[in-house]
Amino acid sequence: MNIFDFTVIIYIIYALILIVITYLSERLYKKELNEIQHEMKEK
Amino acid sequence: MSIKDKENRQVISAATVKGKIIPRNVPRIAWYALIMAWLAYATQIIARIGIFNIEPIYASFYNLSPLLTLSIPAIWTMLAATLSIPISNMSDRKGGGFHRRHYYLLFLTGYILILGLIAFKPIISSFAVFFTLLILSAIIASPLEPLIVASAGDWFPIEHRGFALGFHHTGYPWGSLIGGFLISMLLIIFGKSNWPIVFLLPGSLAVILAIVLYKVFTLENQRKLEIECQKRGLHASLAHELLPSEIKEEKKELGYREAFRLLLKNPTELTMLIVGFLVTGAYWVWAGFLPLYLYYILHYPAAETAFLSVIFTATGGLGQIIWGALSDRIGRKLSLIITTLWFALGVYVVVALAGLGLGVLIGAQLFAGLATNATYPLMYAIGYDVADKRAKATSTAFIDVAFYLGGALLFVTGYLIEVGGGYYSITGYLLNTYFLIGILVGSAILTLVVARETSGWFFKKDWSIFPRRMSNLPELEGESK
Repeated sequence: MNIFDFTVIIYIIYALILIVITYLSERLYKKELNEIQHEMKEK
Repeated sequence: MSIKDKENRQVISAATVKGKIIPRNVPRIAWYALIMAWLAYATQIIARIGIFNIEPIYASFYNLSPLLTLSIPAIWTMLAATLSIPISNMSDRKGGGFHRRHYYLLFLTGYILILGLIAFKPIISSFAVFFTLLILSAIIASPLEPLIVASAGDWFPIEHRGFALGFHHTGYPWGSLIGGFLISMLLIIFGKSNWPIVFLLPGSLAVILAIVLYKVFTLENQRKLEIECQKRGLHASLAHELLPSEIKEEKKELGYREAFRLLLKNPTELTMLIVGFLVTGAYWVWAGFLPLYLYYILHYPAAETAFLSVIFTATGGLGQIIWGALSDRIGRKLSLIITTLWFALGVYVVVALAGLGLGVLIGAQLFAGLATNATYPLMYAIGYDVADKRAKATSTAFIDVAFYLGGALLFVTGYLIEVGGGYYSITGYLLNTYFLIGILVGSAILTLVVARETSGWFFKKDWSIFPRRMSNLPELEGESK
């Protein structure tokens, strides 16, 4: 495998993992915000 | 820079002398969060140090003049504060804690994706593209530092905040050391001709960190931490609690314009702004100058240069801790003057003795390192001590911006190397050495004559020509009002 192919593979792996984690984090963040808002309403 | 972070960073030195150095009875989750925040900070620094350490390689790859080569780290450094204030204030307004994860991961992903593009040689075959990608990455990376430093403060009990931030800040020098070593290894494994691969390195660490940060910095863990802190009789920073001693300190923050006006009227704070620009600028110059000196004058190979130009950071972290602790006892102004002069002496010792052999080069750098990184928290601490109570965070944010603008001094370095005859002529490097020593000695004199001592041995007699009241310090008995 030449260096270019190696770089492409590594970059795609990084990009996929980071994008998926960011997406999951955003989904969790929305849930967390909803939870807080719900609690504030109850108070 | 985040408000809470700004207020917290100043107690770095205090925590190392008050009580035990390593706090006990701290919840495990706080430790996880702190270690993660340290690793995230160190990862960010690894990318930054790469831009300095491989200067000789990209200089020859693009056939750049010294001025153009050094303008890359100069511009990168100057842009490093671009989004820091607005984004960290945004996360502050949301409430800090888990909210910062949302901002941090978004910017981290953007940063790694852009930085990673530099690893493709065909993409960066043109210098304009390389330069543009670096500029974009610097702007996107700019909020990462304040966000992660603020997280380190958020996730540790208030009682041990000083320790948390002091420990966290060693991520800068020690991250540089780890980065220098890893970059050197990559250049040995893949060869100098494949230098762009260095820009994949931060990504490999960031991917693991992103997963762990996503799991650790959550609302659920934040609540667990608050309960754990309560059980142990500690105060969680995340709960926005204040220590009884801090309640009186609660105050309204002034706007930026008013805070800047007050800063200009305060001689000690203004000195920290000027000296912060000069001394931190000297640090950037030192970091930019050393790789070129080792490569072109002492003829170390590129891979070795990448590591040998960060040896001083090994003692850099120690210096921060030692001088932080000492400054509380002997005085911050005195400590700043000593470390600034020590830095100047260190620059001279490294340049003068580096040619005597590898052992001497390492020894000289370790000597210089004891002062190079120590000046940074000292300047913050003095600035914070004398700032108006209603504008502590904002005032220190201005000093922070001055630190990064100090990167502009790298343009002078590039110019002096060109005037001195180019990369291979020692004249330019000697001119830079005098330039650095001049800046540092001048800064020490300015501090001695203008700034007021805020604590320690020379609090009563500090040789400043300005009255204490102008620096928000109480007049002493017998002094004219």
